[in-house]
Amino acid sequence: MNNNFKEMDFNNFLLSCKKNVLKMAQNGGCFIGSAFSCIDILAYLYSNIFDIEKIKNMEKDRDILILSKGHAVAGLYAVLAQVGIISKDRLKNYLTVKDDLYWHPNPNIPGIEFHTGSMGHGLAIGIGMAFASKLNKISNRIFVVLGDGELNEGSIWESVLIANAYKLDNLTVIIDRNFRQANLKTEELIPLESIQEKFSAFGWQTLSCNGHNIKDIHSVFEQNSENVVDKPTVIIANTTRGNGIPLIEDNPKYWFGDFNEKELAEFNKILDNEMGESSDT
Amino acid sequence: MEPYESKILEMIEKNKKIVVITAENRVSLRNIPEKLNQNFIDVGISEQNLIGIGAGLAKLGFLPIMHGMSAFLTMRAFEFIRTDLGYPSLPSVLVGTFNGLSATANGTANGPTHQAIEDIALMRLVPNMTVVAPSDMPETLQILDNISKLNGPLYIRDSNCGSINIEREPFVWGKNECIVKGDNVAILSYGTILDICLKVSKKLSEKSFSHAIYNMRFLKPIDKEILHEIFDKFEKIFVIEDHISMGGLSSIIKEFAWENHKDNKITFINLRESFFRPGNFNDAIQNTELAAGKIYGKIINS
Repeated sequence: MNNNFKEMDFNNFLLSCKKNVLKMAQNGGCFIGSAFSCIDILAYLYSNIFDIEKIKNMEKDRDILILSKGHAVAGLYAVLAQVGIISKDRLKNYLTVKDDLYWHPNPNIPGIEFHTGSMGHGLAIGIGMAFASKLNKISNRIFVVLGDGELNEGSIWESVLIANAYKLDNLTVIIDRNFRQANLKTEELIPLESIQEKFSAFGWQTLSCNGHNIKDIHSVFEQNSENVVDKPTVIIANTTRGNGIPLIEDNPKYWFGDFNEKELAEFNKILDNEMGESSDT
Repeated sequence: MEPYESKILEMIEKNKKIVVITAENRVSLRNIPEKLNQNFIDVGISEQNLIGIGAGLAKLGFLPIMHGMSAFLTMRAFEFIRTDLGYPSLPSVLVGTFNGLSATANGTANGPTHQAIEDIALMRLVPNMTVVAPSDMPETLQILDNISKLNGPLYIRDSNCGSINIEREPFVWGKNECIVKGDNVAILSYGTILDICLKVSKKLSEKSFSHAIYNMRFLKPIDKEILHEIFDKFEKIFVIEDHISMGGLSSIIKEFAWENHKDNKITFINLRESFFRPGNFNDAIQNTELAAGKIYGKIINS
């Protein structure tokens, strides 16, 4: 638990993060649907689980997050800026060649541990890092955020087998289960259900939560850290793509979004109404 | 215990950051997994994860030595190599076995699925990659001696041959070498085929046909100094490799000649554009342009 954020109003924090994302949903845009799908989880991890100072100082025993669904990175930039790992000013460089803030993560940005974007890589990378922790005999945790559509990739299932074979209990996968991929609903294209039964059959501890309910998120991560098992853990976070903005929520048109000032003002108003005034934007 | 295995054990003894990983390719590692404990990881038949896991380890300061059959290592996992090792230039070692006309364990009997005849072309395409093709085990071990200096990924086209048994100059990282000194023509080759070239050399010497043979083991970055020497000294150059005509040494030499406005007479002997017919090594090589007799004929009649 990070004391700095222990007492913080999570809702208010999340609202600020979401407003940071809106700033990137213009002049070239971002994958806003994907970002708003997993941002609650990202905001929770950085405000309640991770030691921000350790991440800033790249300490050896810092917890590590790999955003394997790299296109959701606007959500991660937003959270990194809100916790001060990068400055909020830096977000102004988004999509300019003078910085490395683009549609997918780059490790030149503090807090980003590996460049992802090509689907199906992040879990293998995370497994390598979980092995590194074991070799270094340090007890940090490796978190890998996967998209549900990403489960189409064969390399993911190689990784799922390997993590089980080596009983990587320091590895937690979070599946952003929004039932949508780029073009179609996951179950209409390549059905994934039951994800829980698949991972369970592959030897993983399986947990699930409502990925937009902070109490539920908190409870599942508490369960994850208390319930030590000699196997890797998957948390299936049930989410809605574009959560919080009715126009884009679960709307196949808004996996990606590039909006004008008027639309963004409207979205900001919606977030304020839904989540309350933010004192820190 | 084989020399390769002893070398790995010796290296890990000195550097605990070395992790040996394999995609169930244990041909060169049979006797050491138990001795390496946690510094040995077998990921099973999954080349993409072999590289991804190696990249995760490398990113956190370990030096992975990843083993696989060249065909699967360089092709099945190509995008992982390019994106996860090449782009960030992570110090790491890829050891590919069974490549070209592999004499090892009669690898030529495997057939097209297992033929790695474009591996050098592919690995040269990867940014920050060093590509080296040792001709025998002592050379492979000398390459391993240098891996702690890497600042990016290294592909070793390990032909895993015994020893070509010839007096060599001391090994220098990044440098290619002249292994037979002479005039008239220069023969440029590497790996398994260097041994074939030495057979050709013997026959040429019997006919008092003066020639030089160069071991072009470092393919990327290419040793330009030695190429300038070769192009300045020899009018006729033979480039001989067990690789398709595109992307390997043949292409390297063409690129060098074009960039340096050279008009030397160059003959390229390789696997052209296609798979070779599988069979026992001696049979398989006879069926290609790389048979010693055919190479000899082209050189003596040049």
